[in-house]
Amino acid sequence: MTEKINVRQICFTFTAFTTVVKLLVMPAVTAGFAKESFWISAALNFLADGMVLLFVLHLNDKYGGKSLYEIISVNVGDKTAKTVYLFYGIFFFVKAYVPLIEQKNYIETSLYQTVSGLSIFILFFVFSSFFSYKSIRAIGRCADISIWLTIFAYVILISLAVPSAKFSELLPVIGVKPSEIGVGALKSAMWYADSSYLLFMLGHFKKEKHYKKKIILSFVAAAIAVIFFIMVLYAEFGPLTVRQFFAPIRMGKYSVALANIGRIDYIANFAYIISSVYATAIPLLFSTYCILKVFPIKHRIFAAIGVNALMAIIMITTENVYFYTFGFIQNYLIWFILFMAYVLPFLTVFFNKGRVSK
Amino acid sequence: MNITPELDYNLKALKAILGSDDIIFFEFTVGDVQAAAIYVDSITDKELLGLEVIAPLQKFESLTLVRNMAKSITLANVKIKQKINECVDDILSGHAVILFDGKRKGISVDLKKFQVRAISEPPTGLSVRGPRNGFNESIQSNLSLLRRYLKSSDLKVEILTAGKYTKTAIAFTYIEGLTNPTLVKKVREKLKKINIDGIPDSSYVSKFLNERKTSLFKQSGATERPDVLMERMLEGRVGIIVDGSPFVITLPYVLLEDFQSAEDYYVSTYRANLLRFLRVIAIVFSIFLPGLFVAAQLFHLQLIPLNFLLTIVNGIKDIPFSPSIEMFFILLTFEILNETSVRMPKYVGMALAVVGALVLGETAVNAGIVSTPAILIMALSGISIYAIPELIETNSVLRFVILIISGSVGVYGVLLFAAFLICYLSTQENYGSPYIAPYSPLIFNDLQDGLYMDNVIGMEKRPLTFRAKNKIRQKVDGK
Repeated sequence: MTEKINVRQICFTFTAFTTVVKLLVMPAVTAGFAKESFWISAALNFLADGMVLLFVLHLNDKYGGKSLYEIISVNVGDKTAKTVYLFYGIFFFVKAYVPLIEQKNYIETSLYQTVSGLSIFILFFVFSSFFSYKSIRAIGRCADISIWLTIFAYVILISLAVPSAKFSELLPVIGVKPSEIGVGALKSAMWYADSSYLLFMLGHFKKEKHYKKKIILSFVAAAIAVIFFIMVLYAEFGPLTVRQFFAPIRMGKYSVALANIGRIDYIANFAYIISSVYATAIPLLFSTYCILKVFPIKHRIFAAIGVNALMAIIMITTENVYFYTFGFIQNYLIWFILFMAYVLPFLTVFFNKGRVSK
Repeated sequence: MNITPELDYNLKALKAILGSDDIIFFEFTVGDVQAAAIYVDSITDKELLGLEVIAPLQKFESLTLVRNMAKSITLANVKIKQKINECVDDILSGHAVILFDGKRKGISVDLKKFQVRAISEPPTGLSVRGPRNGFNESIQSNLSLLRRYLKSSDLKVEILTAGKYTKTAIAFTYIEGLTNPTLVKKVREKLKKINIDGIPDSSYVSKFLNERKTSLFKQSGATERPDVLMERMLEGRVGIIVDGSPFVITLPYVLLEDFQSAEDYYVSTYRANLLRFLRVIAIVFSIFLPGLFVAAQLFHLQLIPLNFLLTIVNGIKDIPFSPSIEMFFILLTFEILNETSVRMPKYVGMALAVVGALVLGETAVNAGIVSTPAILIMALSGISIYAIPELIETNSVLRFVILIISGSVGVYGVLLFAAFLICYLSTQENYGSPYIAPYSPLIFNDLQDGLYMDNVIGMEKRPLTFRAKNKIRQKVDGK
């Protein structure tokens, strides 16, 4: 077990990284379908993701700390395990796309108003290649630092927004049809499916006392943080929330504090960007991890550069047709994402080899 | 080659090896037998040689057993030698070797007398409160200082030599029963592998001990203060004292240790925390401020408060260069002035200050080549970097890198670089200790002496970062 991560770092990964990628465009997109009840759509997604998380933790107990690859290969052979990993490699690659485009647009909007964001954002892939090369251990170590950056950014942004929030905007609690809430959940599902990270951390961490409770609590904390954030956003902007893409630079904008002491929200913004750099690089890291399992690539760095270069090329070529690619993922590829994240892990219930007796 | 009974033959052999004008071959008689004392003129105590070595030997009326003659010498470290090569090594280390006609053995007496600087307050790591003695260039003095602080039989000192020509003594020190044995073994092996012609300073040794040879970041600690060495050893580190250098190396190194000053532990906890906070702010300023200022001017004017922006606009309206070129020029000038002031004779220092401050600074502003805000930012960054002198080597390079990045791609480049640094440093280890512990990986116990410092008497356990064998440092409240 050379690529180690510990339970605390897994918890921090959920709380720090899975939170930040959901704050940019997801609230506006979900609000477009589910209006003031959009937080219920978010909660439904978290619930679905949480169920898978529980199952993955159960898998860890059942197979005594074996990796997913070992579990699959013991039961259905090495070739099937490689095929599954190839599909997961593609899954993580697809999962990375939307948050990356979002972040590029966010950087462009919040920091560069006169320069092309892509030419600057392309540097991200240099970092991401390094991060992917460092593998799972880097996630844990960076999570230890990023948790504080995320909390700092979150607290500042919420503190700036809460004074101008009217929580009555969220009433009635279920003011739209349940189907609209469902559609809101489905159309925003691409931002979730974070339990699959834990699936690939299996075999890389040691069990410790109450580890399941700790991981679940960290996931719940992330869910509460995101839901509260989008509630505050809606309470501030009401029906206009659907236009509030890149929420972190929108929500504190009208605070009196900014007029008095300057744009302190940018300090939070910087902390947020550093955290989200890791958060958006994680799927690419896992994609590299899967590719390395499937193909006999001697040097890890080549796989890392390959995956990241491919994503950079895709981003460059689809920059002007982003809304089409986004729509394609939201309407079609979402089924692939849902299958890989929420269905495939449950197929392991049919496995009966390699279990650890109590 | 063994010592032969023929004195002339032995002396010829020694002259052939040592042939140098400062090697003295002093011939005398013991009874009626010829004898000779061989020593290096500049490093041997001749008074002791005459009074405590030659005089007692001359009292013998005839030649007797070498062992018996050696016993008449009332000095410590008297050894019997049988090989010429051993005699050569001893002579060059400050021993006097006595050879006798008709004897196959010689006597080697330690009479070292090097000219050493007196123990004084070290120029680095100064503190208002706390001990004022510092290491000097003598390994013996330095070991005596360490022994003065650590009066324990558990303090182990292993002396090794390195350097083909310098034969520099290296004292490897650790506390048995406290320091992690794996660390001791690893460092010892690395020290034994040193193969170089000469070691002028301990920094050479630290370069051999570095686990990553090309890293920009420091990989070994260094101190001139015995109290700091003692504290670090009590935390589970090892110390390496190199003859000829006042800087003692400590391992493992973690980045945090340079943010900790010796004085932090001698003053009140509140003051210590304030100082640590200021050091962090100073380092952030020194590395990032010039870059962020340039980036804000070039790409992100919205980051600058309006009134400050107006001041900047007034300041830069006549400047012919872009903000990045302007800042690069000032930074370059600062570094040149800095380098010059360190190397030049002290009596020209005043002239340098005048040239630096008046000619280059004020005149450049008046001539409209650089702006006042840019000089102000550079001055703040330039002063701040000295808050932690131990990190200047790394931080001055990082400041240039960040200036180039921010001048090219703006703040996002700087943030990406910061993310890269966090990722790089957090995955590094130094002799098994995480480089940026206790923050990544988070070690809760060690946060007691992190950027925030707890009361000294409340720190029950040693830092877990160094995996010390004995983890308990003190009993809090008599528990």
